[in-house]
Amino acid sequence: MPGSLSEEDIDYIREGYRLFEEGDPAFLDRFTPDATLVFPETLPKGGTYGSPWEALEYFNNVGELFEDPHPEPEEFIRDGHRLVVLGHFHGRSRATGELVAIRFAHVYRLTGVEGALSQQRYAAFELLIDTAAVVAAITGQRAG
Amino acid sequence: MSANLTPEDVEYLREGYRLFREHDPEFMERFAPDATFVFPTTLPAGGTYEGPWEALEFMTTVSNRVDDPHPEPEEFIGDGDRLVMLGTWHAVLPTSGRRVAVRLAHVFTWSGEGALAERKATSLEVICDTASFAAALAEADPG
Repeated sequence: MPGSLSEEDIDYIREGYRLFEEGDPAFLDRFTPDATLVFPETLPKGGTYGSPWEALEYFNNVGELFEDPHPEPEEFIRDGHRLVVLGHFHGRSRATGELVAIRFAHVYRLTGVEGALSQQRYAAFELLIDTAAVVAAITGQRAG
Repeated sequence: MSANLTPEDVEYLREGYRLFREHDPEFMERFAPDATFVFPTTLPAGGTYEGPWEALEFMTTVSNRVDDPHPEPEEFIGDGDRLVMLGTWHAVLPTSGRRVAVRLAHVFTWSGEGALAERKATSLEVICDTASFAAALAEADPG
């Protein structure tokens, strides 16, 4: 059964991930200036940030922990003003050398409930990820 | 508010979570007999299971360590045959009485079309803060 996103919407989302991977600050413009970004507190620099610029503290730290870090979006689920992107986070841990592919869900709140994504912004973002796998990659210690 | 799910769909989903918390086996019937269950491999008994009965191994492993473990659904995001539940997993650690709350997403696939009550879930994947989850289980069962 088809989802509610158009091909243009999906291209627009993928382009955002490319901008992020390339370190292009244009990806920050996809968020409202006061967007809330939430990262698990079990991760280094995790917590709640009050703007995409503030959240650079988290993103920059990921760059210090991993070589070539990039989330690879695989699937896109939209329901009104909410968008979920499922995929895997890829990178090589600078501490352990481990090459990782870790499952994530990115949850976005859009500024509108309908219409093309390119006409909207992200008002909020939350990262759900297999945090134990991230911690294991950067510390070499397995959970449990 | 969901733009793609009816209030009846949402109530049906919430009821499923209530059935699970009450250990009512009826919740198993909401899944196809060969539904795929994927739990993070960073958790005890994590991995991929075929069928809700096999998946009980994971759920039993968790419930043997903590009291009243249950996901509390907060919102449902549906689109085509996919559905994401965002919520919080709650449990009480028998060793200390400490209550734990772990953010999680359940990602479902549903067969067919129309009202969810007429369909079956063909897959369920858990994506969550496994570091918090595993720490709680380890604290509950230090041995």
